[in-house]
Amino acid sequence: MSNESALARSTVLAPLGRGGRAEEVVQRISESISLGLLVDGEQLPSETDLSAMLGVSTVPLREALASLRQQGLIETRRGRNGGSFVRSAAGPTKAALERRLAAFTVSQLRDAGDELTAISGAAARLASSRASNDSIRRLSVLAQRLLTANGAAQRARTDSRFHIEVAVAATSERLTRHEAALQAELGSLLWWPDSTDLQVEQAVAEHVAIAQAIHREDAALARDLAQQHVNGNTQRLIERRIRLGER
Amino acid sequence: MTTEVRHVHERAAGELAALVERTFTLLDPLADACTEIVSQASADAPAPSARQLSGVDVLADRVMEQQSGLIGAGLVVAPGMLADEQRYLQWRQRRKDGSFAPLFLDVDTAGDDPYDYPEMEWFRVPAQQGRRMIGGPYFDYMGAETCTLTYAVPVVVGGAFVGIAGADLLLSWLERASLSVMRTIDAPAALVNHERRVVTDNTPVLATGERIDVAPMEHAHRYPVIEDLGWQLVVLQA
Repeated sequence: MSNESALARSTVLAPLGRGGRAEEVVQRISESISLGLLVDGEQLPSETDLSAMLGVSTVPLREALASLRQQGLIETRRGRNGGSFVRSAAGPTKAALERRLAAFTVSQLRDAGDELTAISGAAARLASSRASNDSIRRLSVLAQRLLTANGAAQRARTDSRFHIEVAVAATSERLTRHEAALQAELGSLLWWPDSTDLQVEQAVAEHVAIAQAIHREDAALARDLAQQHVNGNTQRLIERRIRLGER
Repeated sequence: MTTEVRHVHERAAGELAALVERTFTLLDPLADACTEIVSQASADAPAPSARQLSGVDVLADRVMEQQSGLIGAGLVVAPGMLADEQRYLQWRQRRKDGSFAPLFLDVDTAGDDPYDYPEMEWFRVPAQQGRRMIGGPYFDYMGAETCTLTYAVPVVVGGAFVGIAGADLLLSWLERASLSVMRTIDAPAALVNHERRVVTDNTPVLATGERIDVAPMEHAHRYPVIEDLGWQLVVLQA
């Protein structure tokens, strides 16, 4: 966390007045999100820490978090690396995405794309012999979900989620972690405010084909389709990077 | 196959059954507490609230204390069962430092990636068929974030399914715990679930989660391990 962000957070999470109640917590956190003091994807401190920082007891804090969840302002992920994360509806601007993309050179993008090709291809191949019936159902739902995603941020999350699920279906902890890390780095650059419905349809068709190959237990086809899909995405990224010029 | 060899296989299947069953017995107090809360609530109010379930946290912690491989335990409620939450989990998890903590997750179906538990087999099977279930082996991406088996027993009150009492068991724990049993079998062998997917094995040629094809299954020696779950010990032709 940068110093600036730490400072913002200490202000945002300073103790509330006496008798801090759920509504006050909701107001403080939702304002901070709308002001951009808490940004999309940022993790909130643990419940215990939050409770100490804000000076509220666990019960109203839990109520507040539940309310923020219902409003879609935070999401809570289960698990050891889980917690509550800020979910800003605004999504990244074109300028913010361009800044992030410009931080890569073309050869760095290609290198990252090669790594993603290796991971995604291996995951799809293994998923063909290891996916549970539950996983196969889930893959087919996630393959289509991009059609109903709105805006660049949700499209990016939905797209990434499909690819992570392929690694989940491979029942591989390491491939899943690797895929998730690469998706966090590259997946968010794939969808832009100017991305077209045609691009969505093409991505969905490719996802569906990968899911079907896994379902049919065709390991070689699943691997090839996953790799072709990643290659296509990497080329799109590189084209965009080149258009940005010397930054 | 000699009678002696068959005996070795049968004994291994029996020991595996005892190992897998033990976790189910730990869930009884959780299921009983859930039954009690729901029965009491129905006397004066139509449905309990989420807060009324928080009393089971201490029982969930006790479940995990009894088996070091357990990393989660609690209740998962049938949609529409509670007065105040459409979907709800009262779940505890073991943290890396060994302490127990509540687990929160996004079950709100309005989000773009909710934890959609009614679709998961460990919930779906008890809900639809009224029988116990072990989900997995699977990589619990949204939950435990490791390879896991999810145990679940249905809680039924007055003929209605109200949810499951469950626990997450680390697959790595079961692997270690079963290795000495698996080693007694002098041929490639695997404990497989109802989908013929490998839970644990004694051979480098199989992988966790891998599905054993129908043909090798038909030629294998098979021994029931947990009959109602369809779990079997499969000894392949060497």
